[in-house]
Amino acid sequence: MEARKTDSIAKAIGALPYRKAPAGFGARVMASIAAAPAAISWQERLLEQAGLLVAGWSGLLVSGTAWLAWKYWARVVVALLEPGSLTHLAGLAVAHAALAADKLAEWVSFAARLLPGLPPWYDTTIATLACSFIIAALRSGEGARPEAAAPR
Amino acid sequence: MDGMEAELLGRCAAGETGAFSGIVETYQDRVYSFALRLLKDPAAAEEAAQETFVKAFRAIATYDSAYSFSPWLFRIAHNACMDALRAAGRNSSIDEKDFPDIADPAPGVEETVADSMDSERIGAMLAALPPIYSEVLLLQYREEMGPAEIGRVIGAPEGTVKARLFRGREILKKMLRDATVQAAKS
Repeated sequence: MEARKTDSIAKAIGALPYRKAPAGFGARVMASIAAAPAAISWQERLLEQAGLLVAGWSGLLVSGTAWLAWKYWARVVVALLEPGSLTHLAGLAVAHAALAADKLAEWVSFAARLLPGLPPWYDTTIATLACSFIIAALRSGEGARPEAAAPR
Repeated sequence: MDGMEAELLGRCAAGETGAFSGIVETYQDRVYSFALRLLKDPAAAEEAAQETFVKAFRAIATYDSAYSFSPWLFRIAHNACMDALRAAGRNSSIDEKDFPDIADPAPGVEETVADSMDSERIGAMLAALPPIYSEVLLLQYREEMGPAEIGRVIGAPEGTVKARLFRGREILKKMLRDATVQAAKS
């Protein structure tokens, strides 16, 4: 008797008609999807942030340069018109380049002094590969479960 | 999952937004009905169903085609409905402890009980059940999912699903008995 009753409950629930979704439901869903911004992957987000940083710095540099040019343009023109000013400017540029080259050489020398203190390259490579493997294994295990994939 | 649906899902995963309308069309009545039976409010059900499809579209790349699509979609619908119930302050009706005590069956009324069910009546009774029971009953008998799939939908172990199914059926039987006894008295 219990089985018969359970069967009839199952049959009755199984025969429940689906309620029709309101008219235009599908169109509204598609409109929401079209209106909502697409999900951005972390790589895209990283690129976007880097782009914003570069754009911000460029904007700052351009604004600063434009402001300086606006403020000192008369003095610059006068200085350029003086005899020997171009030679003087070229000398200044060469001095700056020499300073930059000197800084670079110092940085390279510092890195060379630092290198012997670092672990050998094969240690670093093995550690990197091991970490990547563990992360990839954890990620693939997570993706295999549909409940983990389904968003809340 | 039929070939057509698999093809639509593949096109969605490849970024073809228009292909998702086919998925919406296929599942909209099922998801809306499910939400309506849990939330008992057409506006809330429509909102939950809409949220389900939008979230599903955004997460379609994470869907693993090795599994059936409907449990994956119903899991999103389940989450949307539970969020709606919580937002509406109906925590008590989601809670496991919110169910009546079940008395021993009264002998003599079982036969009439078994024959006296129609869609309207069972629909009303399901609506009177706490959502945790109506949900598993609908998923098993209406959506034809097994306990393992239902477990994935509601995020509970298979044992919990079986216990809820049993409990839900028992409550329904008690409701039917009470209704039959009431009808016999009047």
